[in-house]
Amino acid sequence: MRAPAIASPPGPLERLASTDHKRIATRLGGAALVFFLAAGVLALVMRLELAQPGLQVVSTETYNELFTIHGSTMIYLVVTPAALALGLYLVPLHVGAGDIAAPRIALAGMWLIVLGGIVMWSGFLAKQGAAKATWVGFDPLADAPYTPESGMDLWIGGVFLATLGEIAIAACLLATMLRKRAPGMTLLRMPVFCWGVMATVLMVVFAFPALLVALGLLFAERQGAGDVVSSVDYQHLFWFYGHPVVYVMFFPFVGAVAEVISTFSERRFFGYFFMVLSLLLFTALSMSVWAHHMFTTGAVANRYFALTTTAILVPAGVEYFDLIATMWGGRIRLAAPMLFAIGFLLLFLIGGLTGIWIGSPPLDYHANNSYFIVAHFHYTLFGGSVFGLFAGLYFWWPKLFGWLLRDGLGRLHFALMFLGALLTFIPLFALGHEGMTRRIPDYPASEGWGTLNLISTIGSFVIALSILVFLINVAISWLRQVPAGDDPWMGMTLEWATSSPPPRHNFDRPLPPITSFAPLYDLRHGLRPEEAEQGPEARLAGVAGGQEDAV
Amino acid sequence: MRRSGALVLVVFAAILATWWVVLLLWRTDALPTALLGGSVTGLLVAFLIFALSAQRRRPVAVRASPDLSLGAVVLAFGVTGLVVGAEVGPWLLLVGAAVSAGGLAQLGREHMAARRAIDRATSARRAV
Repeated sequence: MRAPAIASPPGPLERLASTDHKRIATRLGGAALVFFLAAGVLALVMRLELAQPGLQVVSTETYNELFTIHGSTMIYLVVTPAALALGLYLVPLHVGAGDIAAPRIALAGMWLIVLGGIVMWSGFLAKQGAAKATWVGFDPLADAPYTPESGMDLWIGGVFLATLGEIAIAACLLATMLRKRAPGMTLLRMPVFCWGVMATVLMVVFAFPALLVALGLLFAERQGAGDVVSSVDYQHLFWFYGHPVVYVMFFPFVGAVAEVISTFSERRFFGYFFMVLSLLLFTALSMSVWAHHMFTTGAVANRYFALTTTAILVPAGVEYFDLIATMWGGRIRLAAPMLFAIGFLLLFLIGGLTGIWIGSPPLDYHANNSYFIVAHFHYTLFGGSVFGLFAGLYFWWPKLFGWLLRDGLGRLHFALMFLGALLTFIPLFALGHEGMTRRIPDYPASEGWGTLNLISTIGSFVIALSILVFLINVAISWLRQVPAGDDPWMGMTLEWATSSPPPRHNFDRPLPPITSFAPLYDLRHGLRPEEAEQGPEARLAGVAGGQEDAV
Repeated sequence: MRRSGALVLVVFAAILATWWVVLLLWRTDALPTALLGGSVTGLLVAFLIFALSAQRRRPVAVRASPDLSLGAVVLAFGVTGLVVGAEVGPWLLLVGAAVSAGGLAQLGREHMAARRAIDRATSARRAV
């Protein structure tokens, strides 16, 4: 049985140039998925190369291209665009708007990201191959004398375009949240997901331009303009972008996980105001910690950046507390979105706790440039962002397409991916601690790192298998569609008050009264505005106080 | 002043400025200070833009919402041509510049068409 068609299928021009935020978001999300699969293939080849000492699956030069393009694709073309795509689709719905602000700019932004990706990957067609100077494009390694290939220039161009597109989309999202909220939707009634996106777009708009400057200076150097930027200054400019981007790829998924946990625990989100405050504090801190990536240069104020890095514990702790407290006493449904949300909590915790380790300069000197760092950021980006992304995808898929994904296959996907993430990345902590440096295509057998590397490689194929299960799930669910209805999960936010998928201008019926950040929950439970603001506890207090009309 | 929601920018700028002041105490290099200070300044400028535009904004009965924008797509391709042209050569730079100009012209046409549509719709509402 097929879901009822809400809109006619788009024509070729609509596919290219539709300004509907939902279509822009699905195109951008689709492009991110394609790049994710491509980057995943590169990761598998790298893991094959490292499975045992002495293997020569690819040459050293090719290996350098693989890790550069894998990292660059995941950061610039997959997780950041996926985070923005989720926001692009959901924020106007969450705030009760009919459209996004400046949709033409958002459309141009989407195309800039896609074209940037194509430009970056076209480096593989260049005579001497793609870029080889890491996803950071370290200066002077990325300079013309050391990396003369045109693939490096294409990398600079591709990253520049993608970043420009991301800034454009973020500006549209910021303007939407500030200017297009429905009547009654005050800032402090926006869902937690919107606040996650707000934190993200603040960083994109006010930190990402530093990367454009860094890339411009690097390009000028490569074109023979002389030594226009020192190595340390390049790193400052790059990491001023490069650390916030970690949180750009994190906050929307924290928001998604918050919505999932709240819905699947059948409880209003616990500690909403403190969550919002902690997100803003977290965002400001994440823009103030960038030089902890430069501790070993000896050219930065290590104590300041260690202080700000460690201070991140406070807002992160508040967020974990709120997420767990929301589940506490709730009627938990362990469907696929909830499993991914719990997986997110567990795996990101590993990434977060190891972040404290390397946030301390003396310990970072030991772990610097080792596989410990690789393990740490894969637990934040894969364990955090990718698990959060899949939690959000399984949760909002029915809204996006009007049909449900199979829950059984979703659980299998989760189980394999969770197991794969542990198998792949836990051994890397041990390898890094034992001194295996990153970005090497081989290692001596005498080091005894073969077994741990083999386990990690097996784990990466388990992750690949889990992605295959997801794709099979999508195919089966698409071929035998189970209509989702408007609100299959008993959601709390406004997107569930419209059809699935939503019509062109999002709402073809009056919005429910917006009395808090969970208007549908309030409606379902008959809460009055003042009760909704204070949560159901206010009603209980009213009953205790003898108010006759409280129930 | 009408509430525009832009207050969140000031709140965020204040939190960021706190860390900027702490950084100043460390007497570090100019660039880190300028980066953080620049972001705080940018946030305040954005606040002013949003707050002032909210002041000037009058409620409108009719709003144009485009369904398609070929101009935006053409502009994105043009900008890509310009960026890649910087590496490939002047011929692609020129092509990129021409395509970008075409995209901007098309965006201008779309803007004018939207204005005309709003005028027509407003007149029709007044007539009713």
